[in-house]
Amino acid sequence: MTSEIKKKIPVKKTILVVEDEAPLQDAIKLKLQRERFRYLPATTAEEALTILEKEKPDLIWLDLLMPGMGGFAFLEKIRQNPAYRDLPVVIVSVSASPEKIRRAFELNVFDYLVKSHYKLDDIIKRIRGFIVKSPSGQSYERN
Amino acid sequence: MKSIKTKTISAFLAVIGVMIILIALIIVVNLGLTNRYKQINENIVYEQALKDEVWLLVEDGYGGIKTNDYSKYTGRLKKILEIENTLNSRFTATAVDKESKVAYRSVRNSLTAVIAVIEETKKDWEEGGELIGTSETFQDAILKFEFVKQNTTDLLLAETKNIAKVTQDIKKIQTFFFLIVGIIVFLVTLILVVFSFVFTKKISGSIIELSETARRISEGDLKISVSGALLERKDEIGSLSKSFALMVNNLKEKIKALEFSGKELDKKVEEISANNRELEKTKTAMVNLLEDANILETSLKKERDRIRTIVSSIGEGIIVVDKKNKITLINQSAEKILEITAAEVLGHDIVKVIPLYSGLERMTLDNHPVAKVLQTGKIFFSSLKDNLYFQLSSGRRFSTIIMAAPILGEKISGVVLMFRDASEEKELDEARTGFISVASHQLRTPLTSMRWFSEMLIDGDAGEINEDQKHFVERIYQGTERMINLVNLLLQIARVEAGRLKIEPVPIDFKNTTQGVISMLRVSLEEKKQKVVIKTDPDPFPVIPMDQEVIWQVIQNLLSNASRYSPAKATISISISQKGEFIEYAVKDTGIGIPKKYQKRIFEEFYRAENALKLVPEGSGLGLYLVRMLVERWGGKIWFESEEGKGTTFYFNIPVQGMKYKEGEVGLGV
Repeated sequence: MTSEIKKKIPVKKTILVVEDEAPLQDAIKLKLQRERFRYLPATTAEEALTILEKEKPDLIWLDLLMPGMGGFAFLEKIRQNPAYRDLPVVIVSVSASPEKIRRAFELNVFDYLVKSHYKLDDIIKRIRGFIVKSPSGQSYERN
Repeated sequence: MKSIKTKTISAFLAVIGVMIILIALIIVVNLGLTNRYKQINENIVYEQALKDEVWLLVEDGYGGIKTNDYSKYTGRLKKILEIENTLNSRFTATAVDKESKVAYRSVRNSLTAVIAVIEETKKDWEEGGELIGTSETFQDAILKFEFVKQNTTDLLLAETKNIAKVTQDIKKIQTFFFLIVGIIVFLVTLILVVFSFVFTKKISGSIIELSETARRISEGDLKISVSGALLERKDEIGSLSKSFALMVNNLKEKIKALEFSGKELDKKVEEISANNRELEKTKTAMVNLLEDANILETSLKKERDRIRTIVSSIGEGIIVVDKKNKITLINQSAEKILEITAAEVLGHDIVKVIPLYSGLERMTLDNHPVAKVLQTGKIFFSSLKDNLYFQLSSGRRFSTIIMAAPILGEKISGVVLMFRDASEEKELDEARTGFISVASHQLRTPLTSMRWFSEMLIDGDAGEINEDQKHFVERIYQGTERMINLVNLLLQIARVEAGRLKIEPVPIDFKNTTQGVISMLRVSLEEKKQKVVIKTDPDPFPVIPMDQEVIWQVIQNLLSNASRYSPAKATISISISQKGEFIEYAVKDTGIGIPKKYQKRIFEEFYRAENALKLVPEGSGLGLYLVRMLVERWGGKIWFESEEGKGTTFYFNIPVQGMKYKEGEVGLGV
């Protein structure tokens, strides 16, 4: 199944993963690289902002509960910047509170996934599916 | 028209006038006669005196002087003498008696001459001069005097004779006059009597006729009418008759009208007396009521005192306010909790004197519970999550739970505010909330990494593993999954138990939601090759407002239970139908069933039936407990029918109006 997907992706997409838990970062890194994504790790939102000054990822994988400014403050900040207003973001959090989900979608994320509910494989599938199909993803690519 | 009054008055005036004239005439004539009579008598009285005295009267052209002692008047005479020449008047000396009757008279052209004459005459007189006569010694001259020589007695006799004659004449005249007067008086009286008789007769006749008519009318004879002769009269009788006739006509009409309304009146009278009877009854009832009220009042007073004692001894703070937010009662507990005394706050506005905060914001008339209750008339309950605080003057701030209820009469007359110091509960609640959020993050993050890594091991991401290794890792994976589910369930239960779960209804289709749950459970269903059949009545089934997460959680738990305890290839039937005011949702399986002896306790926390424990050892015993709490929170019911070994049907219902919105801090998702 993975080999099939590989064939469909001609360009290597860059994914910025903002996640403070090192073991999870390791797992994500392994999975994304196996799926031929370019992987950019950030353990805090502040670090992610620094990376965004130099890099233009195709998608941001964002955790919410992190030390420091946290996922929402980061998201609000990048949405104020016209360059990142439409940048695809997926929230991958342990929390499933409706308030957070609502707030996330108000900040124009393309999906909100509860970590413990999904297999890593399933999350990657969703990301891939979005990058291939999403109009906003495509429009971002053209830019 | 000349009225009777006018006629009578003029007749009387005429008679009186005639009488007055007659009487006056008689008086005047009589007076004249009397005077004359008097003169004659007086002359007789002074008869003797005339013998002795001669009066001298000196007329000076200015009225004269009468004296019998002219010497006394010498001065006066002299004075007259002085003007004699200028006046060139004549002087007459006349001797008169006391009655001014001339004894003799002498006229001279000077006073001196007069005096001389008088002296001379006097001398003669004194010498007893018998001769009294007129001497005209100087006929051509100015001097002229006269003597009367006559015997006084003779004179007097002659006079007396005259008097007697005159007296007789007078008496005759008087008699004549009296006769005339008598006749006149008699005639006048006669005329008056006749006149009045005729007149009275004329008036009283009409009046008798009128009064007869009146009498007959008064006896009820209404056919009679006033005679035409009376009506034609032009005096008061005429107008009286006309008025009377008019009155009679009016009376006839009135009597007709009265007869007409007589029946109406009878009816009215009957109604009024019926009303009166009612009133009498009401009065009696009122009196009874008042007696009862007195008894009631006494017992109310007792009851009031009892309630006061209870209120003051209650541990909760109680404040009663009137409809203007003024504090009218405060119990001891309230004084203690708020660190105030009743004297400080009684009669004051509660909003002003007892600062109440919602979070950090001071409550005002707009949002104060008391104001809300006064406005809506509904009971106000607060909970810990409302974050109400009292702030004391000492600076102490503590969480409170408030209940405010209206005092209802015809209108809201005030509010009872009941509250307690909830600071301990608040601390506990905060600790609990803290635990839930810590648990949701701190437990699930490591569980997630366990899940992902075991998943990758199974997938061979870390290299090929043998069947045994794969089997072991799969066990780790399953255990992790169970752990995650258990944590989720515990967190959900904690939220529901804390009353922090909110319900946000949105229109939801039962069938779609159920199919969503089925597709989520597809893996396990496919594993056991089980089938789920959904039937709705009616089909399609109407959309109703529900909280998506809550209904999802309930259906998912019931469906996964049905699948778990049913054999392979079993069919699970779901039916949705309307039963009166409720929608009934049934999940029927063909599983192991619930033995009778466990049925009572099946919804208890962590409770599992023995046969279930045997078949599925990894179950938590939390699923049905959570389902029951959720169904009860939306106001529904959950029950089941089951036979051991044959299967179970779980039912829950929901009002046709759907779920109602409920405030809360969190949803079911964790």
